[in-house]
Amino acid sequence: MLQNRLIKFTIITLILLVLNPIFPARSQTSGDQTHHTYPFSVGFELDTFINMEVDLKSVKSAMDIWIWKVGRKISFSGRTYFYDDLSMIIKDLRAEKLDMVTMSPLNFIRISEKLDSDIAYSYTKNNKKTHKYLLLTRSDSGFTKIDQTKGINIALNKRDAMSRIMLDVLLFRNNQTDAKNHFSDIREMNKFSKTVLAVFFGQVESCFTTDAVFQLMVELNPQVGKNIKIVAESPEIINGVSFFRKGYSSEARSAIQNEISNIHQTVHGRQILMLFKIDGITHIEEKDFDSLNKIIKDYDKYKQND
Amino acid sequence: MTESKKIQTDRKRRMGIFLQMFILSTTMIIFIISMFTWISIVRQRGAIVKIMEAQAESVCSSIAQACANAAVIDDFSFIVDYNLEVVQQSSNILYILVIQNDGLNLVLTKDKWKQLDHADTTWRPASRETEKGRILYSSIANGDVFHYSYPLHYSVKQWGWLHLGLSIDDFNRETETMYVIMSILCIFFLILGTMGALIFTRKMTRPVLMIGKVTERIAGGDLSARVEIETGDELEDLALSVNKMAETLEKTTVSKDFMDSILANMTESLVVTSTSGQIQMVNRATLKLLGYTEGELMDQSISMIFSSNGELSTGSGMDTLNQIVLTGKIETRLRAKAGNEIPVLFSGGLMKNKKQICGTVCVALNIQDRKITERYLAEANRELKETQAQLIQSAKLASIGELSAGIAHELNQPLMVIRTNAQLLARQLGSQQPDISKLIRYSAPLDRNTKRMMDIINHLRSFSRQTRTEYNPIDMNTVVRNAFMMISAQLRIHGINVTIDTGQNLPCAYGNSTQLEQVMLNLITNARDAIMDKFEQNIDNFVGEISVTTRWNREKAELNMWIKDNGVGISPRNKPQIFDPFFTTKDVGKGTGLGLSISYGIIQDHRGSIEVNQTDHEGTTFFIRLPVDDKSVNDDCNKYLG
Repeated sequence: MLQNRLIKFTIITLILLVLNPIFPARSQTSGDQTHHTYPFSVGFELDTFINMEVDLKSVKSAMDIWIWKVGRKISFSGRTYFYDDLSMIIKDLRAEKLDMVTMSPLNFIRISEKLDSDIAYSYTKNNKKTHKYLLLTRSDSGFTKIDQTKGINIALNKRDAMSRIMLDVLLFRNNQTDAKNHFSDIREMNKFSKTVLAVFFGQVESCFTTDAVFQLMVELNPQVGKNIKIVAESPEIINGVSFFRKGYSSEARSAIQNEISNIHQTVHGRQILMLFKIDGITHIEEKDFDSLNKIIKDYDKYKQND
Repeated sequence: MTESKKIQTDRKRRMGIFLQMFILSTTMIIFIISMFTWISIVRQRGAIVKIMEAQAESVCSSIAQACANAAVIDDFSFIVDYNLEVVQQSSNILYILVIQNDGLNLVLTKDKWKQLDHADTTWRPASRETEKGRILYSSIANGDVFHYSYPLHYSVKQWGWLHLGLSIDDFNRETETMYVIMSILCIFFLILGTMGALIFTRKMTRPVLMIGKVTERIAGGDLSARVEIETGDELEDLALSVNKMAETLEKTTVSKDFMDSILANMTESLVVTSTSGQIQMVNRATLKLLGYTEGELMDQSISMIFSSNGELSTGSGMDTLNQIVLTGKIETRLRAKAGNEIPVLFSGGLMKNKKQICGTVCVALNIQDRKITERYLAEANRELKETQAQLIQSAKLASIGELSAGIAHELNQPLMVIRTNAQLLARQLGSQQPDISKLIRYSAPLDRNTKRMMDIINHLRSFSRQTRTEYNPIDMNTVVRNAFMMISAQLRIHGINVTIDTGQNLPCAYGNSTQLEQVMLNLITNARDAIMDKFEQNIDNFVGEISVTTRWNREKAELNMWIKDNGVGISPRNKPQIFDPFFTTKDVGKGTGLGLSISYGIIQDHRGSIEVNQTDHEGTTFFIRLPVDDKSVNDDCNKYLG
């Protein structure tokens, strides 16, 4: 009798062990089939990430995951696209292939007249929605003003068009010639951080970089802060710009806006913020572009005079 | 058996073969699974370490290639930037150390980098070959890491070392996952193995237990129990052997019930005692015979059931048992509860178990009815004997009457001689000168013949006298001669020749001479009558003849006698009846029909035999066997009797 009971108990236990993981999996699968989905496509202009110094592959993966997660929650499906050609962004926006675009403020100003868009967001970094450029030299260089830097070499981020404009504007405002003529040699590097390191290791005498990158480099190695000093600073300009195309479903936009506002409250949202090395996303207004507009206007003015 | 051994045996019995086999099988399974798990874990850990090593080598190799040129031209910004990117973008790289032989020494982590002023030998291993990675504690990462050292080369020149610290979180996670998987697999296979062991054990032990149960039933007396298993192996052979054994036992052994039934229904009383004479068992017949209850007899001495007047004493139980065993079967008397005595035929034997005496088994047969019957029979026998004696006496008297003419003739002859010689004596005495010699000659026959007459008369008197039957050593030849003394004259009258052939040196027979003489007279008288009947057939030249022969058969230690005649013989139809009482073929008034019957009885009393040896139309021969007297068996009877 005892033997029979033992055999029955063992068989039932084995069956339960085998079946236990099957039932929850089935119920989860069947629950997903009740949602109705809406399209949502996001385009990223590559210049957006120059200041951020992030890995594009990681950004795309993180964005895809975030969109998928948010899409499951608010019933839409979407994907991300990366552009290095502004005309393609304009074309896709007009074809309603893109529902939202993120791009650099400089390029946004350049094409804003051609777009029928609603400005929506920028990102905050170090609790600011703006950033500035810094002219850096080694602490032991003896330079204190920008005009003292004439004839030295400088390292620039070759991919960032804004830094060239900003450096020229700074030089012009200090009654100097443009950078090409002011510096003996302009060494172009592919990252802002490398320009700082080049100064740190004495490979170049100066560099022009963003305050965020310099701050990061100091955080990574405090010696950088000790050995490098700021000679000149640019005015604050808006960070990146994200906007919806006009005509995009207000219902979907409202839902997405809600998710963007609360992006820091989800794990995947926080992962995106960390990857972009930003603090959060915030609404921006037209006046936030004033500084940039003025710089561009000055740049254009000085170039015409030159 | 010592106490410890007993406890051990009890424990084994409690465990049982099923539990023992199950525990053994399960232990084996656990051992095998444990060994398998241990080997798997060790190999898996080794494999994970090798994967980490390969990953570290790959990373180091790519860094070495990327930074080689930068190192040569002292492009430290590139080296820092590149390695910083590597360490930041790879989640499992915790630190990178770039140690130049004569220059820059960098330590890069995810959130810091710094230059080392001086790099000790720790970061400059002696070996120029790639070191194997190992898990160690790192102060840079503040924890355990997988540390990997890689020599940096530019062309053939080694320009420094690259040290990589990989997070062992993946390793720990993989190990943990492996432990979980192995644990689940272990539990699964343990359950599976336990089930298998259970089924296997059950399959193996079930027939054994079944055989055990059946053998227990057989041992308990149920010889009809059989094992029914079909395993097709040695166990089935064993079961068949057990069944065969049970069948044989069933055929050859009486069951307990059968034995109980026998004991309960046997009419003889059965009493089983211990060696000290205490009653251990009695059957129903004993209780019925003695009137006791079983409880009244149990553990009592066996002497209490014997009568004080019986053959067995009423001493202790042991004494009584000794007497029973020594005497074997004996008639004695039992004393019932009511006090009456019951005659029984009592017998007892020793009861042995494994050559040790463990008691006695006694059987008592109630012979009360037999005793009464025997008393009646003895009385009847006595009366029969008296009747037989009277018959013999009557027959003797009848014989005397029948023989009286012959006896008269026998007496007449000496009387005639006496008369003649008396006349001659008178004549001689009447003469002038009696002749003395003649007187003597004439007087001599007087004495001789009167003596002969006296002998005849005395024998006739003793023969006819009714005396007590006494058995003594007797000479059979004398018996034969005495018989003929009474009848020979009659046979001569009828012209029958008599031939007596007595054997020499015959030992004595043990018997009664008068009765045996009676037998002889009966047989001779019958022979005479048969011859007389043959005379009536007027056969030419027929001469009647009777012959009596006596011999000593030494081999059989018996005396043999043949009484032969050449009369008409006995018809085959009458032959079986000739010894029956009152059977006769003679005319009414001539025979009583008791002669041969009495003769048969006399010979039987003498422990001898009488039979018709031969009979046909040429005559009849009777054959008599008589035992000899043991004391005179080696002597001539005449000499023995003096």
